Amino acid sequence: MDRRFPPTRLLTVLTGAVVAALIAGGIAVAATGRDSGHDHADHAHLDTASGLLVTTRSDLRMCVEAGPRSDAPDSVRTVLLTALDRARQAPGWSGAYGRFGYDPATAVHLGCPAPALPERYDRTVLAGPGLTDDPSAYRVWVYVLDDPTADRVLGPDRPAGAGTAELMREAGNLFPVSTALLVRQSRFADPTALAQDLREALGLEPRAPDQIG
Amino acid sequence: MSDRRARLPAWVPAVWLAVLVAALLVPAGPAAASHPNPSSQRHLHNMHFATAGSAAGTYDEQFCVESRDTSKVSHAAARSFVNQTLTQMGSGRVWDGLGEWRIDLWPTDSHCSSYPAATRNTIEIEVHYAWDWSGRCGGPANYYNCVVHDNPVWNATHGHYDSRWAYVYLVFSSGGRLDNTGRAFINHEFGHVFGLTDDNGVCNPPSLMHSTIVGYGCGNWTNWYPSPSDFQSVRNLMG
Repeated sequence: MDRRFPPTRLLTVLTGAVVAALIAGGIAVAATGRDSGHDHADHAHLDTASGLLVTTRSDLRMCVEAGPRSDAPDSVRTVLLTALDRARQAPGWSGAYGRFGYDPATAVHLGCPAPALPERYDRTVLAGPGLTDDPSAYRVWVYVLDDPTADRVLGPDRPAGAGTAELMREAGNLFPVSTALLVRQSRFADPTALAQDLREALGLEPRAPDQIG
Repeated sequence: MSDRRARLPAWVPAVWLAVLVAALLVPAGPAAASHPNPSSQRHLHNMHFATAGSAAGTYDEQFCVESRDTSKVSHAAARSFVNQTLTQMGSGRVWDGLGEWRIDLWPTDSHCSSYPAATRNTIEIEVHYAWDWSGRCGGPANYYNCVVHDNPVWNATHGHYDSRWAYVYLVFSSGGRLDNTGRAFINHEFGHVFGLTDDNGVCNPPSLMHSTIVGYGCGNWTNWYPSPSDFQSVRNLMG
């Protein structure tokens, strides 16, 4: 009895197996692709071509820890929106934020998701969650400080200071994605000065003079 | 009696033809074309520009060095070692001078925290030595070195954000050693300052950024100094 498998049938069966594998692979890739696509759409990545700095943000938003101004939330929102309106007169605005803009109704949120005030301010301070792979919607975290707190954290002569609230790591690099702005209460009452602080916090102007001392 | 010489179904050669055509048309993956970090914009602002002169100028890169445990390494010893590694080890081995001196590194006279805030804000790079930087770099205690960029500012000339300041954090167990291993980590971390990424798993071209000498998997560049492709990658980023 000839037990040999006919070559034609063998080739047919093998080809059928290849087709089945391709179909199974296609289904798997399609399922994985949806997963990846979902992940890519939702997972934040650094984006230094935009002032928002991460891919998951679609418009400019700030959060504010109002501290001594907590009893006047409408005033806090108005002051910050006025300062933001002035800050966007900076020359770099259109390149950095122009394609996104902001909605006055959502641009200022009272309360930040995980506020963390440093003990003392210096330029390396973290004032927020720090390293994260899930950054908040807020590009700037504003902390309004009463005078005793400002004296302790900023020092008696400093009206405001900027630091990092959130930063992300990609391929060995850690890069800020949210700026913390620590503002003395009296400074908060000066829209012109606050607009300058915001310009620096938004990266439209450097926080320090270029010139080396 | 069965026909042992049955004809091959028409769909069988069609399938193999389709497989062949697909194999010819699907492009190769990007790994073969990889280069250390050709597109990263996470770098120090001043590397795009140069200031001529015999002292630190507006667009040069000034750096201070600080030790959190001066009984282990003094500020002065750390500063001397970093300065030597970055500027004095000879052409083709140092970052200093790259890109027609768009990278122009100058050490400060004292450690970082000795300067008042206004002066410190004029120093582009801080190098910090300590036992543990897990609070900054993540990971287990006493293990990781890292670079943190700071003060991101819109660079209208190049249409991206880059950083005015960068902080290099070195742990005494690896990057903080005053030997060739320490030199390798210093050069690796300054690669991050100048925009290079780790690219672990992609070994060509040879790079200090994924070398075994700094704990990565590629053994084709085991020197403590940057490879020619590292220098070229940074030149490419300068624009």
